[in-house]
Amino acid sequence: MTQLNLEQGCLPGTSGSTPIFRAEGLALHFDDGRTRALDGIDIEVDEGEFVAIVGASGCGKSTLLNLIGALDTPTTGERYFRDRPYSAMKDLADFRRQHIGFVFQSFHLIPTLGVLDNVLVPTIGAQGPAAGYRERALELLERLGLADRLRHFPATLSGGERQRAAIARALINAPDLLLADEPTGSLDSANAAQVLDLLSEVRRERGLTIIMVTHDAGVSSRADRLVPLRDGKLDQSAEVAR
Amino acid sequence: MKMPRLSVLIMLAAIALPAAAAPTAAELAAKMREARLTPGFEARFQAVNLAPDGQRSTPIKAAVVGQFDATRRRLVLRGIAPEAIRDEIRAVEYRVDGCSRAADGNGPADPFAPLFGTRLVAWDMLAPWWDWSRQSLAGADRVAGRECVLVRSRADDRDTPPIREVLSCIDADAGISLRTQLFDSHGALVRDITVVTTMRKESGLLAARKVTVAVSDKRTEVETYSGDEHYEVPVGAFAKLEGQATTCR
Amino acid sequence: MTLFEFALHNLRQRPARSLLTAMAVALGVAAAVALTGIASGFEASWQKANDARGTDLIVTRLASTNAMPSPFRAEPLQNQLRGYPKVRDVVGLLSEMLSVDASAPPLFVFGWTHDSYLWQHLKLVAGRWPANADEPVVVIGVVTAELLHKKVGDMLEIEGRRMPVVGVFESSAAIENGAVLMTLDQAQQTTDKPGKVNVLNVKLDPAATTTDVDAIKARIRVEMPGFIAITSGELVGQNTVVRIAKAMSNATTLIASLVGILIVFNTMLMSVNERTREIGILLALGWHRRTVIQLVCGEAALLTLAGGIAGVLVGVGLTWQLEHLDLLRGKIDANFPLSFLLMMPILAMLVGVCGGLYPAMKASRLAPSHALRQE
Repeated sequence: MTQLNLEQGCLPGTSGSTPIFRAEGLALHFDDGRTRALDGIDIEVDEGEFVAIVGASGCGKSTLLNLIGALDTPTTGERYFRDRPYSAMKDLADFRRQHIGFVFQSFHLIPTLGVLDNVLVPTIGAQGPAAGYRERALELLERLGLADRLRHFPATLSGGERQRAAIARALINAPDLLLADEPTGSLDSANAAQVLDLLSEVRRERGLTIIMVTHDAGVSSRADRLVPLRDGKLDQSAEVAR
Repeated sequence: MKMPRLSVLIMLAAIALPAAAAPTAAELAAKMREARLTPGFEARFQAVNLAPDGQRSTPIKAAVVGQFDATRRRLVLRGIAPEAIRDEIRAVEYRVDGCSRAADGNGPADPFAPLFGTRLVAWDMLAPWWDWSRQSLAGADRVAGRECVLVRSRADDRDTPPIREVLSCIDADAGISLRTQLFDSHGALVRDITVVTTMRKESGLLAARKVTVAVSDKRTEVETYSGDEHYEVPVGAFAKLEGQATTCR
Repeated sequence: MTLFEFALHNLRQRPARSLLTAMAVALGVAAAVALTGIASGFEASWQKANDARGTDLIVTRLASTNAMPSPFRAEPLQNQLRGYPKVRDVVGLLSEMLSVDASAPPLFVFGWTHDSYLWQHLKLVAGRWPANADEPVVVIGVVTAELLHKKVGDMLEIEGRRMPVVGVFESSAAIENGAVLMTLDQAQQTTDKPGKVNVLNVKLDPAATTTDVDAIKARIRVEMPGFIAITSGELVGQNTVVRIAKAMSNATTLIASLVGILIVFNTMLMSVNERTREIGILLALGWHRRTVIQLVCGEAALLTLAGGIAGVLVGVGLTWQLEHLDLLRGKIDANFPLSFLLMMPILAMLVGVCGGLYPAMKASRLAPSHALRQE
């Protein structure tokens, strides 16, 4: 097991190079500070790492993931992507499109679009020829075993197929960082294992960094490193397991 | 002391001036008489009888030539269509001394008789009530969205016409009565003449373009479709009245 | 998939709502198109009538608030005008709107000075013209002939006078095709307006310039108080009926636009509220806020463009139907300039964008994390 570096008070990355993501004193409060979803998180994630954010329900896991993905704005603290502060970024939408891919527990596919169109949604309005994106989408879907499901609507797919379509959508813009919020939460064990295998393969092929929220020990056991949270804070009494 | 007397005068003036500004009934009657003065006019109108169930009769068309001066008002009406009334004549005259006469193609006629089978009455068109001495204000009302002043005109006791009282809702500045209600000696409503649309004369005053004449639940719609405000009344236009007996009150 | 395709796709997901919204816009556009076409055509037709006759100036009474100017004695003014420089001819005309048949609506009855230039532009299709100024006969336009089912030899009753139809004519001016024509003397007799006209038509020398026209107009203003000289375009523009028609068409267009904005606003707001989670997904996936605005406004613009195009077609079709109604035949000659027809769908799109703007802004301001939590 890798021990926490408790003396430093934060969870470091595993290498000495610039971390892909770093947060300092990250906090998110509601109701004028009465509710503290996150309370002073310091965290670093290295390029290519697979980090699992674990903890009990309601401890702030998804909140932390949303902050990393710039879906929310922290009350205090700063976030850095390759040492570039989020607060200095002119356009967080551009940042998300170029560097982040999201995979959600309930897939969040657009129900009225077919699989191929769902995968192409992040490319609408983007620079670059449509044909290029389409080719990439088809490659991804082929790779993820959905080549014969291009025109199927999400309602006609199995849970595993939907999550694979969501993964394809998350990868269409070749992100550096994949954020997955309980990606196997809605799947049976067989599909869950399949999805995790896929994520591991993709990560190896593309050098992708994965930050995943999970409460499943089986899932978190696949991670390089765990980030345990309790009540919105880092749980410094927990062990990091690989 | 001059100051208190001055303040009393100012107070009295403030009360008196607004009262002086509102015209009296007699003044309004005079205004209405003046608004109707004309050396000669010609108009063509179409009249349709409406039954209570909405049925419309065959329209009649007639021409009217008139001359209204300060002492006398006279009209001659001629039927145009349909053939049954073509060239049927009705002439009527009213003088401010209270004498009147009427004639048709056959001799003397009743000025209160309906014209050409409609509810239009020649006597009404002369509006003699504006010459009656008993005029009084009766408040205000709205007709077709327009404000108007109610003036009650009562016939003198010595007068004999079947119409004894007329209640007019007038827009004196426009010189038009928007609604005229005629009552008999028992106070019963005999006719109700309401203006539906108006047209502006060259003087700026208004004249009725379309009116309805209601007698109980039956109505006649009368609409002017042509006219000449500067009609040169030909000599002999009112010849039918010559030699007819005059009824004076 | 392009943004346009996505917008179109979204509209197709709610076919009933999209269709109803487009239809509502279409109705408003159709009403505006029909009224504007009729008003424009009416104005053009009157102008055409005067231009066709070769009239350069019209002298009539001032402040004519009725459709037809009130009558006046022709002779003194006619003689005076004939003495003006550059005036070639002065011809009187009497116009009335009279019912000539119990089964037909009132028609224009024109009395033109016999043997004047006013008759020259007409084409006789049957029969003959009145032989002289005193002949108590009428000639009727081709539309009148069709409307009243009359031909040469039939009788017409006008203001109690039975007059034979001796000819049928055709004119380049629609107003005249739906009219009854007789000599001025006969019109004066029929309407009991001896020696009177309501318009004096002035024909100028071909060499007369705009300066000459202005000089004549100024002179008439001074020497003939109560009268005005105007070109046919100005007369038509002052015509109360034309002004009312134009005002009504402008008001209808304005009201239709406001109603259209409200309808689109309501539709798009409902749509945005129903798609909160979907919009959250789009934002989470890296959509710009401006792309969301473009999507919502684009959907609104597509709806109203479809409604605008349909409305133009319905409006033109409706007007064509009205033109062929017995009641209105010969009175409507709708005019639809191409620029106007092209402008209406564009205006409709603008209405769509205006109506969709607030819902679009609302959608773009959604916090993605909150939106994703919506059902």
